[in-house]
Amino acid sequence: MSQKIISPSTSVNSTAHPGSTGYDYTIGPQQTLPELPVSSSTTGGGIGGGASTAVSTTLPLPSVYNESLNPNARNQHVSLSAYAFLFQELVSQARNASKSVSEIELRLHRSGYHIGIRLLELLNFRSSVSAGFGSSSSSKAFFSKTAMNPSGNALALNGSLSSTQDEPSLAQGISHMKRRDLKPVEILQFIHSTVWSYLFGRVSDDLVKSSERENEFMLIDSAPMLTQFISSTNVQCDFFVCGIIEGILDSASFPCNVTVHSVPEPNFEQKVVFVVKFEPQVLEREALRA
Amino acid sequence: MAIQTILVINKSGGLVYQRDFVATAPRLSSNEYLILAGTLQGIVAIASQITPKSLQIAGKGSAKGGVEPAGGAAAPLVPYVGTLGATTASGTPMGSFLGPDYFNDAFASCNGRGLKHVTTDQNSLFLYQTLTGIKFVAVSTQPTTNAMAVAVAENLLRKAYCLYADYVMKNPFYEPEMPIKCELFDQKLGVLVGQL
Amino acid sequence: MNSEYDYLFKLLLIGDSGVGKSCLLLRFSDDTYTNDYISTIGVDFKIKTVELDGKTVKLQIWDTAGQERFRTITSSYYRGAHGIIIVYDVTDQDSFNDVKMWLQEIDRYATAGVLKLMVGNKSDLQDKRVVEYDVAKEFADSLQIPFLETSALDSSNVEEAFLTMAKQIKDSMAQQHKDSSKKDDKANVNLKGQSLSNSSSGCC
Repeated sequence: MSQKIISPSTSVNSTAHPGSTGYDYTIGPQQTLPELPVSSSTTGGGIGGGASTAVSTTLPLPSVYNESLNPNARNQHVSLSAYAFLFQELVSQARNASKSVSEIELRLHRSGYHIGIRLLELLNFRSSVSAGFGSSSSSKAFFSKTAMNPSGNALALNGSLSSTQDEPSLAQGISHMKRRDLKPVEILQFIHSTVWSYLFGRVSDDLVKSSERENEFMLIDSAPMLTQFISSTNVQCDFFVCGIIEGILDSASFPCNVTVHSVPEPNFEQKVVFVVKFEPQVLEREALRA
Repeated sequence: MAIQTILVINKSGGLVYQRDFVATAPRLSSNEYLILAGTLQGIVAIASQITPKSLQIAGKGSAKGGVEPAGGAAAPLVPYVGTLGATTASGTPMGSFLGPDYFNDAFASCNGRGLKHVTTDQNSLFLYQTLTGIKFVAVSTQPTTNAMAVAVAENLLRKAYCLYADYVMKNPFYEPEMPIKCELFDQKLGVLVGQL
Repeated sequence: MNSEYDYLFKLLLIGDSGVGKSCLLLRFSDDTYTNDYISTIGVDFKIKTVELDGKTVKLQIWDTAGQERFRTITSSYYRGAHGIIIVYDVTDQDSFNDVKMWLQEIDRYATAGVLKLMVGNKSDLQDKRVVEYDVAKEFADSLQIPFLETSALDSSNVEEAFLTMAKQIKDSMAQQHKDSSKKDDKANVNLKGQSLSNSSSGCC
């Protein structure tokens, strides 16, 4: 199956994605269930086409996979100050260990890169399971059972009763998973929406394709959250976010080079543009696929 | 009444920030400002020495922890004044206080036994002291003894303190207790004073 | 801000009344010497701008009053001082004996680990000298405080004394980060304690 997904020739016939109908809050998980057989039939088709793009351009639907498994940490918010102080210390560490500005930026970039590699796995897993499956009562109970709190056990009992009727199993859910992003645009949209909302609570302000160079894309953030308290010095602290983007793209097999440029505008003095420059091999691969 | 100058004095009496907001502000050299800051520190120390003990004790009673007498029952609450500089013109919130305004109620002054207000024929000087001992000083272009003006100044300086907490303390390139060189702090403080 | 300096260091000058603290200071900052003796009231400031490693450093020197009656106020000036210079008069045995008292003041009011420097002033008055260099040097060494003799009159050593201090302060600021990571005596730390946050629930 994995072979088929990678193979570019088989991805042509893939248009309908089972999970793309979405999860309706008012109706609940039942709506996606009838389509389950359809999904298993199209699985062989090596899907990576437009349907998954549609999923990633919208905000990820709330599901149990977007939450922490810790029962005490539901709907948690990280204090912006805590985030800022932590980042401040990260920059200080980089600064104390470096001799030049470019070395500081390189260190920040490197720290971000390692986060990016790990983040890709987490976010891919979370967005891979269809929202409908994740929000069903049985799966919630499944997870609260592992969390071992008394109220969770009570839920688990209810859940296990109902799950015998019409709920998909976890194994079925895996066949339901989102396909790997194969096109540069897809993975960039994944970063633009899923990654950005995970990191900063909102999608990035724009995703632009360079009009001059084929292999360049730009992610625009008019108010970068991490560096909002840092006065612009000659050190560009957003290289940390560059590293995250590059880490994600690299480990998703889109080797590239990411740089950041500050583009102050009225009302958005701290606006930055992340320029993603893919290696030539990515374009060559893309040409083969088409 | 307009704000002529804002100063920030660190715990040890060193001037770490000075900015003029009106062109007519008298040009003092940086050394003269440093001496002014040090002298103010001394005056604050003397003022707290001559504050009657009874007042200090009354202040201490309500201050939990008792590190420094923090206003409390003895010191009257400073009334809340308007939405001073709550948001910039574009509506973007200033700092990490995302609400329509940082605060909207009266607050107890941390400056239970120190100097708050000095008036001369030419100017008034307002001093806001934080619990940690940092002093925010505003100098107005006109003298005033109006209680309202004092309250406005206190509100303003408290917001300046918020900006300080955000744009100075969260800046990794700032060395604590040293002169503040943060563009964003400059910018936001300018907006804050400009909206007065 | 139109601040033309990168660092601001607070130096404190202490010592008995009349040992020549203010003269020493005047020599350093303005490079002038005045023979008039004016007792300092509370505190006086002198500012010297120096260049260290390409950074502009302002040394704000707080010249405190030596007189006993200002003592309650001067103690509040110790806060946050980066360096403290204790001055005595080589022609006045009492002022040297009082150095011990001043050191106690420092321990009581100043930040732990503040840089100290002992200065014997008026070294030009050789015929009136009562405190020998060797005696003072031995005393300073026993306390591990740098020591030097100066004369505000001919400004020998004065410049160096302040500059050495400024350099040490700047170096120690850079050092601080590294020192904090070295502390590794966890074995001696007593971590036993009682939770204070839950105690209120037990009373009723």
